[in-house]
Amino acid sequence: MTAVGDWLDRRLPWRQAVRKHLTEYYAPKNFNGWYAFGALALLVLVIQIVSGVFLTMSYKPDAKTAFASVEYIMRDVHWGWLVRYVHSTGASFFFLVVYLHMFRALLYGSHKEPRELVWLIGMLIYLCLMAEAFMGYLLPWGQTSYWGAQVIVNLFATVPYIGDWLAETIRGDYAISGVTLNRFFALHVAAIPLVILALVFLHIIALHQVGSNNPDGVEIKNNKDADGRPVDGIPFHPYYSVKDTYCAVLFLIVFCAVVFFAPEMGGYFLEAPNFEPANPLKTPEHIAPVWYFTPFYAILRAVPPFLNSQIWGVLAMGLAVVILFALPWLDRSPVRSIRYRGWYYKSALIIFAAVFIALGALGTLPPSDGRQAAAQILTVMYFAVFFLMPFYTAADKTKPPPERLQ
Amino acid sequence: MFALFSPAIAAGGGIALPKAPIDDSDTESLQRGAALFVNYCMGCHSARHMSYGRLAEDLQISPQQLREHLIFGDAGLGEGMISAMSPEEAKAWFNDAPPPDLSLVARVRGVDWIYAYLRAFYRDDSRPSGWNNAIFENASMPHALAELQGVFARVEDENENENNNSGGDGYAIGKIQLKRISEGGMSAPEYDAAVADLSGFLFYIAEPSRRERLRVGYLVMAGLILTLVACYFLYREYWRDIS
Repeated sequence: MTAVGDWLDRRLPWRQAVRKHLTEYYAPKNFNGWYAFGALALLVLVIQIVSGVFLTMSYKPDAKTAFASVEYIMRDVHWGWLVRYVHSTGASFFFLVVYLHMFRALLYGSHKEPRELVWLIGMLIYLCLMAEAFMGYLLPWGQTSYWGAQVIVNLFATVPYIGDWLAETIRGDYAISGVTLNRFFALHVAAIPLVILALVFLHIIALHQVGSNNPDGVEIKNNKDADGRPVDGIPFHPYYSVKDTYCAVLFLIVFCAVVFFAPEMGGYFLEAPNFEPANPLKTPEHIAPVWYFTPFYAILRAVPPFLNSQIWGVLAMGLAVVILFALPWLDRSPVRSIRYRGWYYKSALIIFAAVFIALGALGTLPPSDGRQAAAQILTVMYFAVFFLMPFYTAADKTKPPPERLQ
Repeated sequence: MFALFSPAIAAGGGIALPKAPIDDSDTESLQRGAALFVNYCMGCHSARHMSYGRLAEDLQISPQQLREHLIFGDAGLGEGMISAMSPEEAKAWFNDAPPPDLSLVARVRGVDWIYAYLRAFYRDDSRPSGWNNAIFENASMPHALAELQGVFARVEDENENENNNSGGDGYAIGKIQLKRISEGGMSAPEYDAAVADLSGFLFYIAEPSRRERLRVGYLVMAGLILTLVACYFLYREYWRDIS
């Protein structure tokens, strides 16, 4: 074995890579449960790729056969139902895990200097994930698939002057059609996953360059022993590999509970109307995107048309996502972790989480006057959290963080 | 978290639907449901995603029984349950509302809706088919099971019908009161049981892998919990020396 390893190592520096990123990558010893979501996101990515590969073996990207091929997978392909439910459940869990992973950053200031690039690459991954999920959702070719895509692509048509051209270019047709299905399939199974994999690689390399943050928000690199190792750091492997494995199994228990006992998740993961084949002549009464998009969908609907244009809601929705990119520079606090921040930031974070969930809930419901007013107030609050951030984070009464981990 | 994600499925016309008394582990009930489906539904409706072969395997029907009782015509075992009515005929007879494929209707509407719907037909001469439905107003489908259930009519005067809960001589669905105007081949409890069989069958064909899914699910959960215990102790063992 050693001989093979040596042979390989002379040609590919694998031992150096293992040392640098696993056995001699020093991570702070005080990670809590929040720090598992990064590894879990990677696990879900692998689950999605593997299950996706098996789905493509039987799925037919054609408007006439797509719906039937999914049902064929569900019924006549050995373990096809399992692969399909794993993939559909995985999509929702990907967002759940990524949202919690991002919230962890907000809790402990992981977006702050010197980890701005880690945050920016992470945001790019999130954008790709949204595109990936949106395009994948068209593939079963059910009613919600079809009309959801119709609504989202029509958003691009609101752009002045070039809107119609833009929407047609995305669809490849005047309406969502088999042409759209084919190109979404290509992007969903080949183009976007490649970009996501590249970005995930960069995300991890950029993280390992600056080192991991921790719940105290203290740099462990400031306290090294005589050998140059951080005193409060422990090797990622075996300590965090074994802890992440434990967390992964815990995660799989929840994941499999949904896959095997509630794959539709009460209509939130697999929607009832999507078991009806796409019908371009029959508009459903109520079109709502899948739950992970509903906070942004609620913002889109909350903004009324103005100057004969619907573009304002689209811009607000876009800004709601894009503003997250600016987070490292909006946050002016001298400390990272919530443990040493003042009550301004603590309240803002609680408000943000509550507003995000409330907008998400509103986005799943058909609009009414009362809900419209609520969505407008929540939208203003959502943006206030970010626009006022430079002021309240600078004015906040912070506590001095300790020299070393507590 | 699970409580958060369990909204009541929207009922037809805002009526709270009672739970359909189905049992998809009862193979005999599914067999009776299959017979009803073939005899009373497949004249117009298909279940194209449900193959005869899979049906025979899951419901323990021999190929011979299948040929004698369930397959009309010369469809092969690998083929889906396709109605004798051609799409052209369906279009000609039902205008813009050809009878939908029923493979997945239980996942689209919910099995409680199906159970309620099949018990909610009443005579309405203002409709082209001569029938209306208290769950799905102005449905274009006629009452295919009328010879079993008998015929009901809507009570215009609300005081006329006191007996509004039993399936016997009359019952209420939401605000609509129905009263019996003729007997069918089955008593009310027999008819309800037949509709339960048929609803259970539609529930089964919407997801034939469901029973396997649950069975495998328990095994997987048991395996994962054992793995979790092992991983926990491994984690504690490694972390003993971290202060």
